[in-house]
Amino acid sequence: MNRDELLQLQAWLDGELPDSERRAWETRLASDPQARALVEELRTVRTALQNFDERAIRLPESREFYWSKIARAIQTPRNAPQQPAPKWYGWADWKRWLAPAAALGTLALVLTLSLPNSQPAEYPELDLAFIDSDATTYRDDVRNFTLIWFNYPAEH
Amino acid sequence: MNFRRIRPHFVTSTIWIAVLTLTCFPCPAPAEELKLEAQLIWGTNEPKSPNPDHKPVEQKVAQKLKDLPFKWSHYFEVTRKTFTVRKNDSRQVTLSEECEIHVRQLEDDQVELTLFGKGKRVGRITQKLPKSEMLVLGGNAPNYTAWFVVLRRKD
Repeated sequence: MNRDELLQLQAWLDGELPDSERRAWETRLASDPQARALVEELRTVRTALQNFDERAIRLPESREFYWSKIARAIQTPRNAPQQPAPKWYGWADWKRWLAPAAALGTLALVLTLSLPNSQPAEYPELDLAFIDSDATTYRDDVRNFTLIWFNYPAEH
Repeated sequence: MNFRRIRPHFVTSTIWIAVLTLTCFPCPAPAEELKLEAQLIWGTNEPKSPNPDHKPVEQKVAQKLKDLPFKWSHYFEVTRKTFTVRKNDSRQVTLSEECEIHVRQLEDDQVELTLFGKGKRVGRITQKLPKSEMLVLGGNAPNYTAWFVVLRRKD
């Protein structure tokens, strides 16, 4: 059942259809269980709404004021003033630190490069001075050690 | 002086200057002493040393020795001496009756190690010895075993 048929069925139930269409729907309802079920459901809803006395409901304020409150609530976020960002995280605050940081960082770099290197290079330079040269040297840069193996016989 | 008139920029800049100045000019080391540790190690295939005073070498050193293509599977510490040596000064360290080393601290963290075996000068090695660096001397010992002298920084 498409949307137009649903609307027509609602109109039939409300007695709003012309005679020809009303008879057509009555014929269809006799043979269409889905349509009949829908009509029953619509009737139930209508009955429930008929038994509901909306006049008993009283708003605490006038209708106009009630809706104006809703309208204001919708518009409030759009017109609300922007909350200032936390002071520490504002770009302006970071920018204030940026200038001295950059200047002093450059100064530190220049000083570091111009000063004599106080830390020795971490690469060991080996100088061997043997009485006789019967020795083998092995260097392992990964494990950071140097081995000097003396090839003398055991009795030495 | 009205402290409330000091601008935040001035405070910020002062902090940065202080931090970077301390970073660029660290306090010099109070002393130029080098703290070193020398070990005499015996390498063997025997799982247990006949000398009860010998103890297995610490894992870090043992692993480095085991990584080498040596035939020995067990390493025992015979002696361990910790000592300090001043710059341009020499220190004599006796590791056993037959093994002695002379260590001199040179410029730029360089160390000169002179090895003596049975009172005879065997060789001299000069090398930079930064932290985590290990200088190992070794040679054959009786019964297909080996001796090792390990020198490293202790600080």
